[in-house]
Amino acid sequence: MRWIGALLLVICAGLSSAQMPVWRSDRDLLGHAWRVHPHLPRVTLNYGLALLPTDREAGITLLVRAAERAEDSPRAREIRAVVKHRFLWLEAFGDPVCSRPSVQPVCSSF
Amino acid sequence: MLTPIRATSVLLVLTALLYSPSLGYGYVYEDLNDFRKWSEMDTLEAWASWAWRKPARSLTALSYMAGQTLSGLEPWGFHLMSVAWHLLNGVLVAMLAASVVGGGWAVPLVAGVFLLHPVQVESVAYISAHADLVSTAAILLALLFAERRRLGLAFVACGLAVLGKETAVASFLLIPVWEVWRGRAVPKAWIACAVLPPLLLLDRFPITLDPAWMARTVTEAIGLLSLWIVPLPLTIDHDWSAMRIGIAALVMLALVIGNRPARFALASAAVLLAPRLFVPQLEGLHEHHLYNISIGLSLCAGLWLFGEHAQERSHVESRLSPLPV
Repeated sequence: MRWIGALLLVICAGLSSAQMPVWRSDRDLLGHAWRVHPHLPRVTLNYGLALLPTDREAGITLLVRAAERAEDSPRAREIRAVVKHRFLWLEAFGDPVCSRPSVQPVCSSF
Repeated sequence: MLTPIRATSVLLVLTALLYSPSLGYGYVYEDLNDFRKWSEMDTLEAWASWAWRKPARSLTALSYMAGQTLSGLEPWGFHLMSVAWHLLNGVLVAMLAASVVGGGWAVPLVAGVFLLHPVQVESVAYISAHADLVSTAAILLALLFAERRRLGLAFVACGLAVLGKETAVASFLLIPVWEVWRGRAVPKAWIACAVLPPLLLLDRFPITLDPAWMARTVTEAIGLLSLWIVPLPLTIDHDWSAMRIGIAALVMLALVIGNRPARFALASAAVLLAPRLFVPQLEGLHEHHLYNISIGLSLCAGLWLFGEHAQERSHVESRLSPLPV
Protein backbone atom coordinates (compact mmCIF):
# COMPACT_ATOMS: atom_id res chain seq x y z
CA MET A 1 0.00 0.00 0.00
CA ARG A 2 2.92 2.29 0.76
CA TRP A 3 4.18 1.98 -2.80
CA ILE A 4 0.72 2.56 -4.26
CA GLY A 5 0.47 5.71 -2.16
CA ALA A 6 3.91 6.84 -3.31
CA LEU A 7 2.97 6.20 -6.94
CA LEU A 8 -0.24 8.18 -6.47
CA LEU A 9 1.72 11.13 -5.09
CA VAL A 10 4.25 10.98 -7.92
CA ILE A 11 1.41 11.08 -10.45
CA CYS A 12 -0.19 14.00 -8.58
CA ALA A 13 3.09 15.92 -8.50
CA GLY A 14 3.68 15.28 -12.20
CA LEU A 15 0.23 16.47 -13.22
CA SER A 16 0.50 19.54 -10.98
CA SER A 17 3.89 20.38 -12.42
CA ALA A 18 2.45 20.15 -15.94
CA GLN A 19 -0.49 22.37 -14.95
CA MET A 20 1.59 25.13 -13.33
CA PRO A 21 2.73 26.98 -16.50
CA VAL A 22 -0.91 27.49 -17.46
CA TRP A 23 -1.07 30.16 -14.73
CA ARG A 24 1.90 32.16 -15.99
CA SER A 25 -0.16 34.85 -17.74
CA ASP A 26 -3.64 35.59 -19.06
CA ARG A 27 -2.54 34.51 -22.51
CA ASP A 28 -1.36 31.13 -21.20
CA LEU A 29 -4.40 30.63 -18.95
CA LEU A 30 -7.10 31.63 -21.40
CA GLY A 31 -5.28 30.08 -24.36
CA HIS A 32 -5.23 26.77 -22.52
CA ALA A 33 -8.95 27.08 -21.78
CA TRP A 34 -9.62 27.86 -25.45
CA ARG A 35 -7.64 24.85 -26.65
CA VAL A 36 -9.67 22.63 -24.31
CA HIS A 37 -13.06 24.23 -25.13
CA PRO A 38 -12.77 26.00 -28.52
CA HIS A 39 -16.52 25.73 -29.06
CA LEU A 40 -17.50 27.82 -26.00
CA PRO A 41 -18.29 31.49 -26.87
CA ARG A 42 -17.31 32.84 -23.44
CA VAL A 43 -13.95 31.04 -23.58
CA THR A 44 -13.34 32.33 -27.14
CA LEU A 45 -14.25 35.85 -25.96
CA ASN A 46 -11.88 35.76 -22.99
CA TYR A 47 -8.98 34.48 -25.08
CA GLY A 48 -9.65 37.04 -27.80
CA LEU A 49 -9.56 39.84 -25.23
CA ALA A 50 -6.30 38.49 -23.79
CA LEU A 51 -4.70 38.35 -27.28
CA LEU A 52 -5.61 41.91 -28.33
CA PRO A 53 -2.67 43.71 -26.71
CA THR A 54 -0.02 41.46 -28.29
CA ASP A 55 -1.68 39.87 -31.33
CA ARG A 56 -4.47 42.18 -32.46
CA GLU A 57 -5.45 40.30 -35.62
CA ALA A 58 -5.83 36.99 -33.82
CA GLY A 59 -7.73 38.74 -31.02
CA ILE A 60 -10.16 40.40 -33.42
CA THR A 61 -10.73 37.09 -35.23
CA LEU A 62 -11.60 35.39 -31.96
CA LEU A 63 -13.89 38.22 -30.85
CA VAL A 64 -15.82 38.00 -34.12
CA ARG A 65 -16.08 34.24 -33.70
CA ALA A 66 -17.29 34.65 -30.10
CA ALA A 67 -20.00 37.11 -31.17
CA GLU A 68 -21.15 34.81 -33.98
CA ARG A 69 -21.24 31.72 -31.78
CA ALA A 70 -22.94 33.55 -28.92
CA GLU A 71 -26.31 33.04 -30.62
CA ASP A 72 -26.94 29.82 -28.69
CA SER A 73 -25.25 30.92 -25.50
CA PRO A 74 -27.28 31.78 -22.36
CA ARG A 75 -25.10 34.88 -22.02
CA ALA A 76 -25.41 35.91 -25.67
CA ARG A 77 -26.33 39.56 -24.98
CA GLU A 78 -23.49 39.97 -22.54
CA ILE A 79 -20.93 38.46 -24.92
CA ARG A 80 -22.07 40.58 -27.86
CA ALA A 81 -22.08 43.70 -25.67
CA VAL A 82 -18.49 43.05 -24.58
CA VAL A 83 -17.38 42.50 -28.18
CA LYS A 84 -19.15 45.67 -29.34
CA HIS A 85 -17.59 47.65 -26.50
CA ARG A 86 -14.12 46.41 -27.40
CA PHE A 87 -14.52 47.17 -31.11
CA LEU A 88 -15.76 50.70 -30.31
CA TRP A 89 -12.80 51.10 -27.97
CA LEU A 90 -10.41 50.09 -30.78
CA GLU A 91 -12.12 52.52 -33.16
CA ALA A 92 -11.77 55.30 -30.58
CA PHE A 93 -8.02 54.65 -30.57
CA GLY A 94 -7.76 54.92 -34.33
CA ASP A 95 -8.25 51.36 -35.57
CA PRO A 96 -11.31 51.27 -37.90
CA VAL A 97 -12.12 47.61 -37.14
CA CYS A 98 -15.81 47.88 -38.01
CA SER A 99 -14.96 48.77 -41.61
CA ARG A 100 -13.27 45.39 -42.15
CA PRO A 101 -15.32 42.93 -44.24
CA SER A 102 -14.98 40.15 -41.64
CA VAL A 103 -15.99 42.41 -38.74
CA GLN A 104 -18.67 44.50 -40.45
CA PRO A 105 -21.48 41.91 -40.12
CA VAL A 106 -20.81 41.67 -36.39
CA CYS A 107 -20.75 45.44 -35.88
CA SER A 108 -23.91 45.97 -37.94
CA SER A 109 -25.83 43.24 -36.11
CA PHE A 110 -25.81 45.09 -32.77
CA MET B 1 15.55 5.89 7.53
CA LEU B 2 12.31 7.37 6.16
CA THR B 3 9.61 7.72 8.80
CA PRO B 4 6.08 9.10 8.27
CA ILE B 5 7.07 12.42 9.85
CA ARG B 6 10.13 12.75 7.63
CA ALA B 7 8.06 11.78 4.60
CA THR B 8 5.57 14.54 5.42
CA SER B 9 8.43 17.04 5.72
CA VAL B 10 9.78 15.92 2.34
CA LEU B 11 6.34 16.43 0.84
CA LEU B 12 6.21 19.97 2.21
CA VAL B 13 9.56 20.76 0.63
CA LEU B 14 8.45 19.14 -2.63
CA THR B 15 5.28 21.26 -2.61
CA ALA B 16 7.28 24.43 -2.05
CA LEU B 17 9.52 23.53 -4.99
CA LEU B 18 6.52 22.65 -7.16
CA TYR B 19 4.86 26.02 -6.56
CA SER B 20 8.03 28.13 -6.54
CA PRO B 21 7.67 29.02 -10.27
CA SER B 22 4.45 30.87 -9.39
CA LEU B 23 6.58 33.58 -7.77
CA GLY B 24 7.47 34.68 -11.30
CA TYR B 25 3.90 34.62 -12.60
CA GLY B 26 1.79 37.69 -13.30
CA TYR B 27 -1.74 38.81 -12.54
CA VAL B 28 -4.35 36.77 -14.41
CA TYR B 29 -8.11 36.71 -15.00
CA GLU B 30 -9.87 38.49 -12.10
CA ASP B 31 -6.70 39.33 -10.15
CA LEU B 32 -6.64 43.00 -11.12
CA ASN B 33 -10.35 43.43 -10.28
CA ASP B 34 -9.69 42.22 -6.73
CA PHE B 35 -6.38 44.02 -6.48
CA ARG B 36 -8.07 47.38 -6.92
CA LYS B 37 -9.86 46.71 -3.62
CA TRP B 38 -6.91 45.35 -1.69
CA SER B 39 -4.36 47.88 -2.91
CA GLU B 40 -6.17 50.61 -0.94
CA MET B 41 -5.22 48.82 2.28
CA ASP B 42 -1.61 49.81 2.46
CA THR B 43 -1.64 50.56 6.20
CA LEU B 44 -2.98 48.78 9.25
CA GLU B 45 -5.30 51.73 9.92
CA ALA B 46 -6.78 51.49 6.43
CA TRP B 47 -7.33 47.76 6.93
CA ALA B 48 -8.93 48.27 10.36
CA SER B 49 -11.31 50.89 8.97
CA TRP B 50 -12.28 48.60 6.07
CA ALA B 51 -12.62 45.54 8.33
CA TRP B 52 -14.95 47.47 10.68
CA ARG B 53 -17.25 48.38 7.80
CA LYS B 54 -16.99 45.02 6.00
CA PRO B 55 -15.83 42.23 8.32
CA ALA B 56 -16.31 39.51 5.70
CA ARG B 57 -12.97 38.67 4.08
CA SER B 58 -11.11 40.99 6.45
CA LEU B 59 -8.71 38.18 7.32
CA THR B 60 -8.02 37.63 3.62
CA ALA B 61 -7.49 41.38 3.25
CA LEU B 62 -4.89 41.21 6.02
CA SER B 63 -3.09 38.48 4.10
CA TYR B 64 -3.19 40.58 0.93
CA MET B 65 -1.78 43.48 2.92
CA ALA B 66 1.09 41.27 4.06
CA GLY B 67 1.79 40.36 0.43
CA GLN B 68 1.73 44.02 -0.57
CA THR B 69 4.17 44.81 2.24
CA LEU B 70 6.55 42.22 0.77
CA SER B 71 6.40 43.16 -2.89
CA GLY B 72 4.41 46.37 -3.31
CA LEU B 73 2.43 46.22 -6.56
CA GLU B 74 4.42 43.27 -7.90
CA PRO B 75 2.52 39.95 -7.79
CA TRP B 76 5.27 37.80 -6.26
CA GLY B 77 4.44 38.84 -2.69
CA PHE B 78 0.84 37.65 -3.10
CA HIS B 79 2.00 34.41 -4.71
CA LEU B 80 4.41 33.87 -1.81
CA MET B 81 1.58 34.32 0.68
CA SER B 82 -0.55 31.80 -1.27
CA VAL B 83 2.22 29.19 -1.19
CA ALA B 84 2.81 29.85 2.52
CA TRP B 85 -0.89 29.37 3.30
CA HIS B 86 -0.98 26.15 1.28
CA LEU B 87 2.04 24.76 3.16
CA LEU B 88 0.47 25.72 6.48
CA ASN B 89 -2.74 24.00 5.45
CA GLY B 90 -0.71 20.92 4.53
CA VAL B 91 0.75 20.82 8.04
CA LEU B 92 -2.72 21.21 9.57
CA VAL B 93 -4.10 18.43 7.34
CA ALA B 94 -1.24 16.16 8.46
CA MET B 95 -2.05 16.92 12.12
CA LEU B 96 -5.73 16.19 11.48
CA ALA B 97 -4.89 12.93 9.71
CA ALA B 98 -2.64 11.90 12.60
CA SER B 99 -5.50 12.58 14.97
CA VAL B 100 -7.86 10.41 12.91
CA VAL B 101 -5.57 7.42 12.17
CA GLY B 102 -3.17 7.72 15.11
CA GLY B 103 0.00 8.01 13.00
CA GLY B 104 1.47 5.71 10.34
CA TRP B 105 1.92 6.07 6.61
CA ALA B 106 -1.63 7.25 6.02
CA VAL B 107 -0.58 10.66 7.42
CA PRO B 108 1.93 11.59 4.70
CA LEU B 109 -0.41 10.17 2.07
CA VAL B 110 -3.30 12.36 3.23
CA ALA B 111 -1.04 15.40 3.47
CA GLY B 112 0.59 14.60 0.13
CA VAL B 113 -2.71 14.24 -1.71
CA PHE B 114 -3.89 17.55 -0.24
CA LEU B 115 -0.63 19.34 -1.09
CA LEU B 116 0.11 17.85 -4.49
CA HIS B 117 -3.22 17.03 -6.15
CA PRO B 118 -3.39 18.89 -9.50
CA VAL B 119 -6.86 20.29 -8.72
CA GLN B 120 -5.18 22.40 -5.99
CA VAL B 121 -3.03 24.27 -8.53
CA GLU B 122 -5.73 26.85 -9.27
CA SER B 123 -6.21 27.60 -5.56
CA VAL B 124 -2.49 28.19 -4.99
CA ALA B 125 -1.35 29.75 -8.28
CA TYR B 126 -4.37 32.07 -8.68
CA ILE B 127 -4.10 35.12 -6.44
CA SER B 128 -7.87 35.71 -6.45
CA ALA B 129 -8.37 32.32 -4.79
CA HIS B 130 -6.54 33.57 -1.70
CA ALA B 131 -9.75 33.67 0.33
CA ASP B 132 -10.16 29.89 -0.04
CA LEU B 133 -6.66 29.29 1.35
CA VAL B 134 -7.20 31.56 4.35
CA SER B 135 -10.66 30.25 5.24
CA THR B 136 -9.52 26.62 4.88
CA ALA B 137 -6.73 27.21 7.40
CA ALA B 138 -9.34 28.37 9.90
CA ILE B 139 -11.63 25.41 9.07
CA LEU B 140 -8.71 23.03 9.70
CA LEU B 141 -8.04 24.74 13.02
CA ALA B 142 -11.71 24.31 13.92
CA LEU B 143 -11.56 20.59 13.14
CA LEU B 144 -8.35 20.21 15.17
CA PHE B 145 -9.92 21.98 18.14
CA ALA B 146 -12.97 19.74 17.79
CA GLU B 147 -10.67 16.70 17.89
CA ARG B 148 -9.21 17.99 21.15
CA ARG B 149 -12.74 18.62 22.51
CA ARG B 150 -12.16 22.38 22.65
CA LEU B 151 -15.46 23.27 21.03
CA GLY B 152 -15.36 26.89 22.19
CA LEU B 153 -12.12 27.42 20.29
CA ALA B 154 -13.56 25.48 17.34
CA PHE B 155 -16.44 27.97 17.28
CA VAL B 156 -14.00 30.88 17.25
CA ALA B 157 -12.04 29.23 14.44
CA CYS B 158 -15.24 28.86 12.40
CA GLY B 159 -15.80 32.58 12.91
CA LEU B 160 -12.29 33.25 11.60
CA ALA B 161 -13.07 31.08 8.59
CA VAL B 162 -16.01 33.39 7.79
CA LEU B 163 -13.65 36.36 8.03
CA GLY B 164 -11.62 34.58 5.37
CA LYS B 165 -14.52 33.87 3.05
CA GLU B 166 -18.28 34.22 3.62
CA THR B 167 -19.17 30.78 2.27
CA ALA B 168 -17.13 29.27 5.13
CA VAL B 169 -20.22 29.95 7.28
CA ALA B 170 -20.95 26.32 6.39
CA SER B 171 -18.07 25.31 8.68
CA PHE B 172 -20.46 25.78 11.61
CA LEU B 173 -22.41 22.85 10.18
CA LEU B 174 -19.26 20.94 9.18
CA ILE B 175 -18.20 20.50 12.82
CA PRO B 176 -21.36 18.53 13.78
CA VAL B 177 -20.88 16.39 10.62
CA TRP B 178 -17.29 15.75 11.71
CA GLU B 179 -18.36 14.85 15.25
CA VAL B 180 -20.97 12.38 13.99
CA TRP B 181 -18.43 10.79 11.63
CA ARG B 182 -15.97 10.48 14.53
CA GLY B 183 -18.65 8.72 16.59
CA ARG B 184 -19.26 11.52 19.08
CA ALA B 185 -22.43 13.29 20.15
CA VAL B 186 -23.02 16.86 18.98
CA PRO B 187 -23.51 19.25 21.91
CA LYS B 188 -26.90 20.96 21.84
CA ALA B 189 -25.21 24.27 22.63
CA TRP B 190 -23.26 24.03 19.36
CA ILE B 191 -26.41 23.49 17.33
CA ALA B 192 -28.08 26.45 19.06
CA CYS B 193 -25.10 28.79 18.55
CA ALA B 194 -24.31 27.66 15.00
CA VAL B 195 -27.59 29.10 13.71
CA LEU B 196 -26.53 32.66 14.57
CA PRO B 197 -23.68 33.30 12.08
CA PRO B 198 -25.70 32.40 8.96
CA LEU B 199 -28.52 34.66 10.21
CA LEU B 200 -26.03 37.54 10.60
CA LEU B 201 -24.96 37.15 6.97
CA LEU B 202 -28.51 37.06 5.60
CA ASP B 203 -28.87 40.81 5.10
CA ARG B 204 -25.80 40.89 2.85
CA PHE B 205 -26.47 37.53 1.17
CA PRO B 206 -30.24 37.05 0.99
CA ILE B 207 -31.37 33.53 0.24
CA THR B 208 -32.84 32.99 -3.22
CA LEU B 209 -34.54 29.74 -4.19
CA ASP B 210 -33.79 29.40 -7.88
CA PRO B 211 -34.19 25.77 -9.08
CA ALA B 212 -32.25 26.46 -12.31
CA TRP B 213 -29.30 27.88 -10.36
CA MET B 214 -29.41 25.00 -7.86
CA ALA B 215 -29.45 22.42 -10.64
CA ARG B 216 -26.56 24.14 -12.38
CA THR B 217 -24.55 24.33 -9.13
CA VAL B 218 -25.14 20.67 -8.30
CA THR B 219 -24.11 19.66 -11.84
CA GLU B 220 -20.95 21.76 -11.66
CA ALA B 221 -20.16 20.40 -8.19
CA ILE B 222 -20.40 16.80 -9.42
CA GLY B 223 -18.23 17.67 -12.40
CA LEU B 224 -15.59 19.35 -10.24
CA LEU B 225 -15.60 16.47 -7.72
CA SER B 226 -14.98 14.09 -10.63
CA LEU B 227 -11.71 15.99 -11.22
CA TRP B 228 -10.44 14.50 -7.97
CA ILE B 229 -10.66 11.05 -9.52
CA VAL B 230 -9.76 11.97 -13.12
CA PRO B 231 -7.99 15.38 -12.96
CA LEU B 232 -8.37 16.16 -16.66
CA PRO B 233 -9.01 18.61 -18.17
CA LEU B 234 -8.05 21.32 -15.69
CA THR B 235 -8.98 24.79 -16.93
CA ILE B 236 -10.36 28.07 -15.61
CA ASP B 237 -13.63 27.29 -17.39
CA HIS B 238 -15.41 23.95 -17.68
CA ASP B 239 -18.04 22.47 -19.95
CA TRP B 240 -19.38 19.31 -18.39
CA SER B 241 -20.76 16.57 -20.60
CA ALA B 242 -23.86 14.71 -19.46
CA MET B 243 -21.95 11.43 -19.66
CA ARG B 244 -19.22 12.64 -17.31
CA ILE B 245 -21.77 13.96 -14.82
CA GLY B 246 -23.76 10.74 -14.98
CA ILE B 247 -20.74 8.49 -14.48
CA ALA B 248 -19.39 10.69 -11.67
CA ALA B 249 -22.75 10.67 -9.89
CA LEU B 250 -22.92 6.85 -10.08
CA VAL B 251 -19.36 6.49 -8.77
CA MET B 252 -20.15 8.83 -5.87
CA LEU B 253 -23.29 6.89 -5.06
CA ALA B 254 -21.30 3.63 -5.04
CA LEU B 255 -18.66 5.19 -2.77
CA VAL B 256 -21.26 6.54 -0.36
CA ILE B 257 -22.85 3.10 -0.09
CA GLY B 258 -19.63 1.11 0.23
CA ASN B 259 -17.00 3.39 1.77
CA ARG B 260 -17.19 5.10 5.17
CA PRO B 261 -14.50 7.72 4.58
CA ALA B 262 -16.18 8.64 1.30
CA ARG B 263 -19.38 9.36 3.19
CA PHE B 264 -17.63 12.04 5.22
CA ALA B 265 -15.87 13.40 2.12
CA LEU B 266 -19.13 13.77 0.20
CA ALA B 267 -21.09 14.98 3.24
CA SER B 268 -18.47 17.67 3.86
CA ALA B 269 -18.59 18.60 0.16
CA ALA B 270 -22.37 18.95 0.34
CA VAL B 271 -22.17 21.06 3.52
CA LEU B 272 -19.39 23.36 2.31
CA LEU B 273 -21.01 23.92 -1.08
CA ALA B 274 -24.51 24.41 0.36
CA PRO B 275 -24.27 28.23 0.74
CA ARG B 276 -23.65 28.53 -2.99
CA LEU B 277 -26.97 26.82 -3.73
CA PHE B 278 -28.93 29.69 -2.21
CA VAL B 279 -26.93 32.73 -3.35
CA PRO B 280 -26.84 32.89 -7.17
CA GLN B 281 -23.63 34.34 -8.59
CA LEU B 282 -22.62 35.58 -12.01
CA GLU B 283 -19.89 32.95 -12.25
CA GLY B 284 -20.38 29.27 -11.54
CA LEU B 285 -18.06 26.97 -9.63
CA HIS B 286 -14.33 26.85 -10.29
CA GLU B 287 -11.61 24.45 -9.21
CA HIS B 288 -10.54 26.67 -6.30
CA HIS B 289 -14.01 26.19 -4.77
CA LEU B 290 -12.91 22.62 -4.06
CA TYR B 291 -10.02 23.69 -1.84
CA ASN B 292 -11.75 23.35 1.54
CA ILE B 293 -13.59 20.25 0.31
CA SER B 294 -10.20 18.67 -0.37
CA ILE B 295 -9.79 18.18 3.38
CA GLY B 296 -12.40 15.43 3.34
CA LEU B 297 -11.30 14.11 -0.05
CA SER B 298 -7.67 13.79 1.09
CA LEU B 299 -8.71 12.02 4.30
CA CYS B 300 -10.86 9.70 2.19
CA ALA B 301 -7.90 8.84 -0.07
CA GLY B 302 -5.62 8.13 2.88
CA LEU B 303 -8.11 6.10 4.84
CA TRP B 304 -9.20 4.16 1.79
CA LEU B 305 -5.67 3.08 0.89
CA PHE B 306 -4.23 2.67 4.34
CA GLY B 307 -6.09 3.15 7.40
CA GLU B 308 -9.81 2.65 7.80
CA HIS B 309 -8.84 -0.16 10.12
CA ALA B 310 -6.40 2.22 11.75
CA GLN B 311 -9.23 4.69 12.26
CA GLU B 312 -11.32 2.01 13.94
CA ARG B 313 -8.34 1.06 16.10
CA SER B 314 -7.92 4.71 17.04
CA HIS B 315 -11.63 4.82 18.01
CA VAL B 316 -11.29 1.73 20.20
CA GLU B 317 -8.10 2.99 21.85
CA SER B 318 -9.70 6.32 22.69
CA ARG B 319 -12.54 4.53 24.46
CA LEU B 320 -10.43 2.11 26.53
CA SER B 321 -9.65 3.40 29.98
CA PRO B 322 -5.97 3.06 30.97
CA LEU B 323 -5.17 -0.14 32.86
CA PRO B 324 -4.26 0.38 36.53
CA VAL B 325 -0.54 -0.02 37.20
